[in-house]
Amino acid sequence: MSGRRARGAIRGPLLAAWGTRALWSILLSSLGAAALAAPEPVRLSLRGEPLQLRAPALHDGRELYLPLAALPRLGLRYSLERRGEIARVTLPGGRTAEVPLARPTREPMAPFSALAGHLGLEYHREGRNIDLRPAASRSPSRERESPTPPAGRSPPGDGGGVQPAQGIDPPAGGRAPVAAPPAGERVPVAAPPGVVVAVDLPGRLPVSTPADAVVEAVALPPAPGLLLADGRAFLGPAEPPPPEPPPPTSRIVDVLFDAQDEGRVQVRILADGPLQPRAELLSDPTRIAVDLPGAAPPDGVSEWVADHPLLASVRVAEQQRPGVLRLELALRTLVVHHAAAAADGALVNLRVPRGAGRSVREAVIVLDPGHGGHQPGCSIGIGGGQRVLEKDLVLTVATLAAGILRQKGVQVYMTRTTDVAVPLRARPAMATERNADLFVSIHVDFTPIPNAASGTTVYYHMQDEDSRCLALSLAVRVSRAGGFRNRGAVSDRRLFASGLAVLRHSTVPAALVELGFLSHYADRRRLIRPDVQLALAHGVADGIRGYVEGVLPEQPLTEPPTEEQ
Amino acid sequence: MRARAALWGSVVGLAIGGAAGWYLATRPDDEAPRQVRVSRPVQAGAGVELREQAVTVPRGVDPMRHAVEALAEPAGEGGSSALPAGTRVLSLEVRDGVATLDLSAEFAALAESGMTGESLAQEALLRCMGQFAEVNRLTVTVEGRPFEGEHSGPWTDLPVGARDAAGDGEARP
Repeated sequence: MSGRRARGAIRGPLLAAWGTRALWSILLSSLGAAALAAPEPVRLSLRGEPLQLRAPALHDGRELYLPLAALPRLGLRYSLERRGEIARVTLPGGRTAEVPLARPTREPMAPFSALAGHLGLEYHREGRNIDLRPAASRSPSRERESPTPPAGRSPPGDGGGVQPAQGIDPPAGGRAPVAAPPAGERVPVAAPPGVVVAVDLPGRLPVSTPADAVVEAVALPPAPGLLLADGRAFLGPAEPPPPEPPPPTSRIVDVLFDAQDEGRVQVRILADGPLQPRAELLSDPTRIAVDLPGAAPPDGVSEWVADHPLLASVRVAEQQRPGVLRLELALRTLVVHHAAAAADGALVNLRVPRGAGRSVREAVIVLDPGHGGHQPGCSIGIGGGQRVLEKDLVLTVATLAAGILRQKGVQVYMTRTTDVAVPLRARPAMATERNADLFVSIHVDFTPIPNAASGTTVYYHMQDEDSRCLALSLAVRVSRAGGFRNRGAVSDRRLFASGLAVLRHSTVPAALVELGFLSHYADRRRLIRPDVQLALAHGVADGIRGYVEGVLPEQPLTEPPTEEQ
Repeated sequence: MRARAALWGSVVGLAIGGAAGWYLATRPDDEAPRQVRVSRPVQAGAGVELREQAVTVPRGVDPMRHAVEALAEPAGEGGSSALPAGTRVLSLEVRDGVATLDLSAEFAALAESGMTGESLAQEALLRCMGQFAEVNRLTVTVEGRPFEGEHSGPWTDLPVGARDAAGDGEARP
């Protein structure tokens, strides 16, 4: 009897513990779920190929949840363990991995983040469409060159004349190329995770495979391409061409110019239907591109000549994207633009940028050599115990640029003339206090990976079009003067969500010049040369002058060169 | 008498069971491995970009803290980290959706990393914290003092997650 009592005394709390654990779990998970954004169903595709799934994938703004039924489609077998809390996933190479499952709704689902490393895939979201792609693939919104190929990738060469599927070079272990399979026959080739397989086919198509993918070569005429499906890569017909754009909804009828004064002009693009213009300032040569989706060019006319100090002409440009008509505005000077839809088509307003449209002698400029004092900025050793400090280098260039501008009669202030630290906010504040027209900060850049980047970059704040014009003028002239690659005028939103502090707090058109990269050997060798520093100073002075006087960056400044030049 | 004892026994049992249930329901699940994502700089064309890697969190370790610590570690031999070498996590607290990350003095070397280095470090931290649902914003301190980037300004109350800066012309250097 006492034994039964003792067992009962132990069982009671245990049962209560298990029962209340379940209750607490339900309560806590409900509260947790309520705190998160509700997951919404998304359409899933694998490298552009839609995955038809009975249960949809879900996305809660932070995580992509895959239904378990999607795993076999990605080449993964799985079994549930621990009462459905864990999926033991068998990868194509035979390895297994434990994936903790989530329950964004009632059904257990696999968090993509737990699978991404095994699959070698990453996802790209566009609204409710999510595409899974090899992790090494490039984002279409960021145009870049391909990363350095991993060891084992076949060197680029002339693949012309080679018959389709003549061979595949699996990089692992230096295996011999696979013999050409007969048409239609698939030859599996094991590829280790993340490798790049070079395919000896016309056009030499390098492909990045997902983890442990099996690459199959298929001799399929005409042009080969790569498809990824069911977690396996195989050669097949080239990817389907993009869908035909819809027929034009409007046709351009005419382009008219409304000159409001010498500093402003309105371009009226008349059409027989609605237009949704998107305009962008482009360089080399400096021009404004107006993209008009769904518009067709007029019959018989491809150019309209303007008689205005700001604008030379408007012409129909080469098509850049299917279904989008591009008009290009050939400029006479640097201008700020604003495009909008109108009842009878579209309007593009052009005006002289703030502080521009006059002689540089009338301008007041603040030059800001970055860092200083106990803030040396980036630095690097150059041998012999010497070290180049950003604060010293930019002070030299800024001082030289100030001297060049002053010789031209420009009123120039500097945020520092010696090796002192100046608070970030105080730098642009000087431009406001001195009633300056422009603020130009001067820096040199650095990357954590040596020699990864080189060239001159000029930043402007967010979408400030006046500052963008200034940045464009500086980028072209500074890079050319210093012999650096021109990385262009770039919004500081690329770097920081709220931009750069000195540009954010500026009340006048402002730009931050990164002369070059101290972390790049070629840039560094040039940056430390006094003659290059003087040339860079001339570039800064000319960039400022080009902006103020409205001279397009590709046009020479007409004033006779000074003694330094 | 027996009935009263049984009643008290049940009450005590329920109390003990309830407490044990709370503990079991709320304790970190040290059985299931978890993976976190960390971003590391890689060369991409003529520039540098962050690429995410999955890192497995050891059992019994706080995933958030482990993610930040993994961020400071270079990825293998020759790999690079977005944070200055030797950076350690001194403390990491989340309160009302704001994570306060206190880093060791080594992090201050970011001032010598150039604008691109500073940008990569901030974005790597914001992406890292963005994967945790309980974090909306991030404040970074160094040895208890608010950190101010020499290019970006104060790192206080920064919105976490990956930035959407598409359509701004060129990519990061």
